[in-house]
Amino acid sequence: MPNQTTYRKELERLFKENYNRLYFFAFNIIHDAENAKDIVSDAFQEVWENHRDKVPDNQLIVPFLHVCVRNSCLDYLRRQHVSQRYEEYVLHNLSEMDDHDLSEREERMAKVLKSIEALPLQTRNVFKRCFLDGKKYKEVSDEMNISVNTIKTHIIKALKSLRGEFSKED
Amino acid sequence: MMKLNPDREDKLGKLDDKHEDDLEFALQALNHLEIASSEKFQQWVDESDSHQALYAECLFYREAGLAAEGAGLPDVEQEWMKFDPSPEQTPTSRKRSLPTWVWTAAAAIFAVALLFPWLLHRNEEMRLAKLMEKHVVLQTENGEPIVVDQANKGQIESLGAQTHQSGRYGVLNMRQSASKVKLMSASTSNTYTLNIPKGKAYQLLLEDGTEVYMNTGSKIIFPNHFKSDSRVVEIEGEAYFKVTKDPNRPFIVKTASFSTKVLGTEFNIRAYPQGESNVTLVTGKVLVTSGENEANQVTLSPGQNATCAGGQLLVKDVDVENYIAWKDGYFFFEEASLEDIMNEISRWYNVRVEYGNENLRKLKFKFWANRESSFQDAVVLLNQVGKVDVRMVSPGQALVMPAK
Repeated sequence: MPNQTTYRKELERLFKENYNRLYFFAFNIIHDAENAKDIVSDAFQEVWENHRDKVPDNQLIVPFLHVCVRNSCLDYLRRQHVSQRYEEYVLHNLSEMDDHDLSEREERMAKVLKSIEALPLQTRNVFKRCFLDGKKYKEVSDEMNISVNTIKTHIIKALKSLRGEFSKED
Repeated sequence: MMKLNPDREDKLGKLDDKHEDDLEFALQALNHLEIASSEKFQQWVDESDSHQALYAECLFYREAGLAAEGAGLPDVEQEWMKFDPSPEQTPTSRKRSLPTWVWTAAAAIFAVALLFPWLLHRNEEMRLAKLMEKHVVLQTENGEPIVVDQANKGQIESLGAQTHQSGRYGVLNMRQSASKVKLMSASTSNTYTLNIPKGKAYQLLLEDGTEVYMNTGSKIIFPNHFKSDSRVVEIEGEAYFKVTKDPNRPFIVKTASFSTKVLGTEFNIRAYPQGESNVTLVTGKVLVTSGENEANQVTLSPGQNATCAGGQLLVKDVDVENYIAWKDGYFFFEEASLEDIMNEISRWYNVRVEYGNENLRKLKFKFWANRESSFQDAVVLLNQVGKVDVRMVSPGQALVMPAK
């Protein structure tokens, strides 16, 4: 096919522009990094198989990718024998695809990123363990050798600055 | 993507001691599917909007946190390399060594040799399935399937049947001329299955003169000669019957969940594997039974509809036109859910439908369209209502989004 190279470029652009957003969409549902990656790649595979010579425009294909990812996540949940109730929760609360306020979301993400960078070292440490490593307060308390109450204080502090609520005393 | 707006903090609780426990709970569900999906957590989320908002907020901060750490994000470049469909550039093809290739080929040849008889059979099955996707196909008990709509006159006549066109319908006519009946009456009784593919409708004229209009994606199992005491057919999908009167031989239509018994009358049956099953009576009288030993029974009068749900039969008065408009070439929905409408339309045009948002399925529409127009035309009409935005992703795939 003559336009194979252009097509590949198009697909590459689509892949790179949307990968992260789709990845987190899946990750937030299934909480499993490796499987989330596979699910996203499979969604692009579907595009690749059904649109051999032309990548449809973003308006069309991005929501479609979302639906593919969502459906694969639901399949994954079923294979994991996760409760029906969680599936419904996902369908009603985690599968919204507002393409309208995407830029608003990015703006907010940038702000939060900055706030995280600005966290005091100890607070950031606690934040990382609780939010990213999925550790319990008690575990973090043992690891860092600080009390559970101190951890709670750090978490509240982190949350306040991520929300942009700076109290005068701080 | 996520129902969360940072400026709409009203739903989120203030961060005081009271909410520390909630926060801890929300954090525990992060990274732990078994907790997030637990009954306890789901109850907690349902308890209040602020719980839901708090959890969504935590998901968002986790995402930001992973981005801040850098190491927590998937490497998009690397994922693309793994995915890249262009064959000459995939790292796997570069690495593939000759011995592996030889070994794989040898194994494949061995496997094919072992599976050869099975593959032949499978091939035959697949050929038939392919045919039935596009054509009206008549299967006989023993023998070649016959592609009815690409009429091979000789083949069809050998069954003592004919085909012709009547208005919008192609017709398979099983009524035989009197002389032929005499000739054939000694021949044994055969059972046939007529399959109607998606996107087509077809008419069947049974031996007794009963007319059956078959809707899209349906099948009917019927004999070439009815027995002397009853006339029994079986359907899956939707069909409209005009039954020839014969007080001595009741006409019985069986479906997976119920059976309908009549003497002579007009009615519609809808019994697709997905969705509700319905019998709608236009004229005459029918007896509908369902359940084991025909435990449930109702008699319908004209203008009534019986729905079969979980073995129970529910009768209500309906506007018959809603149920039989298809026969005259229309989609007609007085007040139906988008899901019901899309199910019917997608069956006719053979299009897969995905919903961007589950709540869209339940939206109610009044909808009317000509079946002979294209899917695009139907979509334009739906979108005009202003509630949804149905888009074509590819020729066989539609996506329903909320209207902007």
